[in-house]
Amino acid sequence: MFKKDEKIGNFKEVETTIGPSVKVEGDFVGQGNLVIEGVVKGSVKTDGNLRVGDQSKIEASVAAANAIVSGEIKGDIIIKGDLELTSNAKIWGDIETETICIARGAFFSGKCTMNDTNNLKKSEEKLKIKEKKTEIKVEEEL
Amino acid sequence: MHIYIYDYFLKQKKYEKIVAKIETRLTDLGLNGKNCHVGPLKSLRSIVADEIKNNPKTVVAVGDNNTLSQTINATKESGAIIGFIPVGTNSSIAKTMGIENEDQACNILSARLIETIDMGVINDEYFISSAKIPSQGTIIEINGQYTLEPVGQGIVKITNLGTGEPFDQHNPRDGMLEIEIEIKQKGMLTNKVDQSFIQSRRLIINNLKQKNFIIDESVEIKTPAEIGVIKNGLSLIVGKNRLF
Repeated sequence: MFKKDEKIGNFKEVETTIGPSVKVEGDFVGQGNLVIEGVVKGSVKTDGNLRVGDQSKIEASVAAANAIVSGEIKGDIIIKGDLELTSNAKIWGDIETETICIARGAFFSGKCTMNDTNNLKKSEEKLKIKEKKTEIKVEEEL
Repeated sequence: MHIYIYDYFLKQKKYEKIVAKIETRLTDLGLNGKNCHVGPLKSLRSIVADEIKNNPKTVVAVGDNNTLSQTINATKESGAIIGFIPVGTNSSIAKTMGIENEDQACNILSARLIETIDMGVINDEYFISSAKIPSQGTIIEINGQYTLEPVGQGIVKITNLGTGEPFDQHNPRDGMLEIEIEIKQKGMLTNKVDQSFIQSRRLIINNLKQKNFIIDESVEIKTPAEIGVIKNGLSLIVGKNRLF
C-alpha cells in the first residue's frame, strides 16, 4: 500500500538532527533531510524529508517534501509528497499533502486536504503570503 | 624561504633529542630555513609577525595544536603556506593532516602537497579544527533566525576540520561549520548520549554560566562569541593519508 523505501524519502543522508535534549525557537529553515526528536517552537521548513520522532513536541507550522511523524505537532502541516502518521503521532492542525497514511492509534484533529501538484503550489503561495503578512505585522509592532 | 617556529615547551630536556633529529632531517632534505625558538621574552605571535614581513614561502609550526593555532593566527591574511611538525602529546590535528610523527612530517614538507581548506573565525581569532564549550547555560543563535538551547550536561562542538573517527560529516572545504551537541543522559544500566547535528555559516553563542570556548583544544575564548567561516582561507602542507 505504502512502500516506505520508495515513497517516503531516504533518511540515510540526514543533514540535520535535533536531538531530544535540544529546544529550538524561531524559524527553522533547512535544505536537506531533517530529523526532529526535541522541542520546536516557531516554524519548520525544509526542501528535503522530515522525520518527527516520538519524543518530539512541535508547536510550529511544518513544511517539507515528505514526512514521517511519530511525535506531537500543534500547527499546520504542508507536505509536497507523502505523509505518514505512525501510531504514536498526535496532530492538532490542518494537513495539506499529496498522499497520506495514518496508522491505527494516531490522533489527528484538523482538516485534511489532498492536493494534486498544482493545488499544492497555490497553497504554498498562500503560506508565503501569510508569512509575509505576519512579518509585516511584527515589523509594525516593533 | 622556510621559517620554522619551535614552541617554548620544546626547550625541555626530554625534547632535546627530537628537536635535534628534526633539524638534522630538514637539513638532509635540503629544507633549510630560519629556525626561530620561542623564548620567555618573545611570544610566538610576535616572532611570526616579525618574520612574516620578509614574505616567507612557508611557515612551519613545530610543536602541538596550540603552536599550530597560534601560528595560523599570527600569519592572518599574509597568504603564507602553513606546515606542521607535531611534537608532544596534544597534536591531534596532525593526524587529520595525514602526519603520523615528526620524521614523516619532514618528508611531507619535502613532498609539499598543498591543500586549501576553510578556516573558522571566533571573535576575530582563527581556528582550524574545532571550538568547544560546555552545554549547560549555552544558547546558540543561528543566522539570526532561530535559537538552540541544549538541556542537560554535555558539550557543544563547532567543527571545521574533525579529528575524530566518524569523518564523513566534516568537510573542511564546504564553507560550512558543523554544530554538534552531545548531551549525556543517565540510564539505569548504561548512559546514553543524545546527539544533535546542524550546519551553519554564521552563529552567535552565549553562555549564561560564564564558561569559555576552547579552540583547537588549546586556546580559551570568552563568550559571547560570534562564529563564522572563511572559505578557502588557509593553505596547508598535508600528507597523502589526510582525512579530508
